[in-house]
Amino acid sequence: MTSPDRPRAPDRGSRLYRLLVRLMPFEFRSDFGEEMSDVFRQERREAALGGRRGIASLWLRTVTGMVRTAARQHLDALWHDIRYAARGLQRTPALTLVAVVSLALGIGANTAIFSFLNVLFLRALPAAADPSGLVGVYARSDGRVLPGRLTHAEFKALRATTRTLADVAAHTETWVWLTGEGGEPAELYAGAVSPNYFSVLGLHPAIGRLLTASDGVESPTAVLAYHVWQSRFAGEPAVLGRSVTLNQRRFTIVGVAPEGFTGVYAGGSRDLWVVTGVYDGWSAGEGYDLVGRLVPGRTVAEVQAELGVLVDVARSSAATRVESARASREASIFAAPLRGVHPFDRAQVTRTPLLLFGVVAFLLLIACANLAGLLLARSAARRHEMAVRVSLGATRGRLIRQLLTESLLLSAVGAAAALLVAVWASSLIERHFSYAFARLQVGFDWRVLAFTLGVALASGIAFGIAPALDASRVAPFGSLQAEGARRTTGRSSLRTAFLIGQVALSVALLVGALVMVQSLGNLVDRPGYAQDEIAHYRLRPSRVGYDGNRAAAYYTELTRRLAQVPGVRAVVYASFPPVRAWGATSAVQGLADGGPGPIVESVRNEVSPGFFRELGIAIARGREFDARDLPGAAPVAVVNESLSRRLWGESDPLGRPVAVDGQTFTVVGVARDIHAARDGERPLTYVYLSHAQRRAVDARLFVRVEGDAEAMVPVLRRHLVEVDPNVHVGQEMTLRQRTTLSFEFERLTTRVLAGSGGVALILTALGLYGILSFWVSQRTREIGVRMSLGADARAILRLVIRQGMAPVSLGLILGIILTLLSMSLLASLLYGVSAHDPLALAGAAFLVIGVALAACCVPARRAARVDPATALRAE
Amino acid sequence: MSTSRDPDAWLPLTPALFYVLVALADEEKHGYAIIKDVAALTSDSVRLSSGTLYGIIKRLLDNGLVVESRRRPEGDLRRRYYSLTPFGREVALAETSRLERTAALARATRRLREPSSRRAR
Repeated sequence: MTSPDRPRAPDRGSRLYRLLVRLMPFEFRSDFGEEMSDVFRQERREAALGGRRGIASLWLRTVTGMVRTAARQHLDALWHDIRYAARGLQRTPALTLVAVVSLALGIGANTAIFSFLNVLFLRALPAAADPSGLVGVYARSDGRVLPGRLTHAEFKALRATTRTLADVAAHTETWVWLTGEGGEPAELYAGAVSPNYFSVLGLHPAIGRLLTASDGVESPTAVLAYHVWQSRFAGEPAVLGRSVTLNQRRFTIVGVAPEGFTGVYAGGSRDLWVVTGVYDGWSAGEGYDLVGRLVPGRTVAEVQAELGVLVDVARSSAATRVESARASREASIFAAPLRGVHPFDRAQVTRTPLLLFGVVAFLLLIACANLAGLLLARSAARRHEMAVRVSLGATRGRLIRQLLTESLLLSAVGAAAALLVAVWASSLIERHFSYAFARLQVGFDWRVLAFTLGVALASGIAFGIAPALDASRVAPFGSLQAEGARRTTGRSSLRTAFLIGQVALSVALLVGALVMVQSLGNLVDRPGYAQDEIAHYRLRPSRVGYDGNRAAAYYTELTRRLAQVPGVRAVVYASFPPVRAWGATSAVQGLADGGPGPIVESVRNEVSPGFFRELGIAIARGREFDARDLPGAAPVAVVNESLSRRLWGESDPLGRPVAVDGQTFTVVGVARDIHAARDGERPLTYVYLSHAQRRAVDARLFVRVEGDAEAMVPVLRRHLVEVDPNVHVGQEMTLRQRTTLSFEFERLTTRVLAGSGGVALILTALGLYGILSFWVSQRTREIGVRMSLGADARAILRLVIRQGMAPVSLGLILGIILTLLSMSLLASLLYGVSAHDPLALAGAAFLVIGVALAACCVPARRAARVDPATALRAE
Repeated sequence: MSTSRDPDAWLPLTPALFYVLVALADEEKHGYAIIKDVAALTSDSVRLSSGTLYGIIKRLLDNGLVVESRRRPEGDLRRRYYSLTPFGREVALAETSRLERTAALARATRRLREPSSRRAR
């Protein structure tokens, strides 16, 4: 037909066409690329006869045809790879199962922790309309967020002048005492909000209506949270129009907030909402945070600029006492997108989730190292298959792609299973934060899914790349035999490296788990005070106007009444529970003859007579408080041993004067230290004062009972409420439960560490087992030779176990070094145990060695049972 | 690659693929010749682009409907020529009779009479 083209430099059209051909998969290109260019040259020559229109229509046809075909070819190739990979995985079901389960655990744990972080820091208010347009406005001083510290005047000024916010609402919260309707009296957490609160958020009621400008002080109204409506009012629509008594004022229920809404922050726990200024707990206008909705197109930075001006104005006019106080301490106001928890909590809660993230990242690394090892073994078994494919013309890139498709398919299946693991793990997290973040809902959104996908992709490549590179480094048939021996050694040393890494990481996790378990025990099971058979309540007579005198009479009456209840042994109370580090902080100074001594910041607690005796806190010297220590008598104090030592060294503190926040007391007793010290921290110093003498009003009540305290909690509560039905009674639970609540973060961290450590141990055992089984199967002949030369079964056992334990010991040493380097991360969570606790190190080493030996046993025994005759004939 | 030996499993064919089979039915051809022949067969109403053509050729090769011809007519050693396999012919015939049956069915209903004003092609 046509003669071949003259060789010449390709023109622009040909170059463009070559670029288009590059859209095709590599193999398609190498098969047909030249030919296509040739066809196109002829097409162009013909089209040129048709002039510009001919050329234009050719290009149009060519480009669309190429794009469409390229897409299809790529999809075909991918689909082919996936089916091939799936068949390969079906052939090794045990490996596939181990891979999927370990990935499900590894990725699932990461997903769960990420979804936790997402809720805490990233997610916008789910129930609200267009939540990304919501902005929080807060007071700040010296870089620290001050929660609920903006004034009513600031709120009004911002609302009147802002051009960047469509509207602003003020909100704060307070405890209210619900009596009358709907069962037993109860303490509820009320949101006190400006009437436009719900409209700024763009919420719609579950039933009835939400608060509006018509709601005011004259006829108080309340909106219930959905969970209160369900639990206390049985979800009846008839709740609308009913009235409830909150802090002795009547409120009409006008509506129920949408399900899941419990305040503007993640983990909020509002039970109901009322308009600010209605009830007496509301003080002179200070104590708000604000929430605003951006004018479309405006940004948080523009709001911030506006707030700067507002602060300057407030400072210069200093219209109110509060404002001038704020101006003088150089406070400022700042705006931030409304996401996750309150910015104040943000700083407090960052550590634990990040630590947990580190732990589960370790776990995923271990899972990946384990899989890489297992896949390397498989790639050895597939040498033949790869050689065949290379002989058939597959390129190295093609093989790598195929093998990576396999590992990505594994991680995709693992990720799907991981979502199930994550759902379960999230509910675990929610349960662990019933106190710090009541009603936390760790949900999944697009961020969590994107994260999971990213982690799955990354781990698929991470554990797949080394085996893929290794398996693809294959020569076609012929040169295969010579290659074989050398490359098996290289591969097994890579596998050994993965095993060593895995052991090292497992050791670090296990040590972390062991010290955390001990630490948690010191906090929760051995807290330093008696906590069994004790019921705990929080009483707040101050909320109904009690002063010190009335409170003293109240506690006397209460003690008398409760003492008569069958099963009650003793009634004592204190300003704070004896839980570690809980109390007010005071500056304590010893007043010696030679002038005042050093000032020691100490924890302060006001306690009743009998407090030390009933809570099992020993008095080392002197006495505890008794009925004589009243307002009129000489002011007395009890110090703990650590405070005594810090103030006076080893000399006797009894009878010495001590200044607590400037007021002088006489030391009458020394109490033993009860709390475990934090790793690397000085023991806590405590000063105890007399509850009655200090005219303290609110208290924690501790009732020692015979037998099961949990059963007594509701019984005693009824008696308590009878003494004065208006006094708030909250946190009714056993003292042990109260202690446990204080250490939610530590408990969660311990569980995650222990779980991860356990899984890591199992994975390591599996990895070791895999390596050794492979090693034994490769050396059946060698073992046979040894046996025929006189080695007995025990010698063979020793040989295999030595082979397995060598990398384990190396991993152990590396793991201990890694532990020593990384454990300082845990130090702040450790109480009464060192991060480098030798017992924990020994325990972890013992566990790893034990499990590793167990994993060695099966392959070692298989090796010992090798029949020399069969083994020698086999090859 | 699974090669189904049942021609009916391939039906219906896309028009482009069908024309390529028809173009190869009389003799082996190289790529450009196929494009030209398909254009001629369809009075220029179907112009395959090079990309589309080789997408089809790859699929036909992979599934054994065509093979690369060993013979290089006209002494042209650079170009690859493709020829229809017996199975490819079976598939083309199956599609032809399917189209006939379909057309016959549609006509038998007598519901699709063309308006007299419309120009018949």
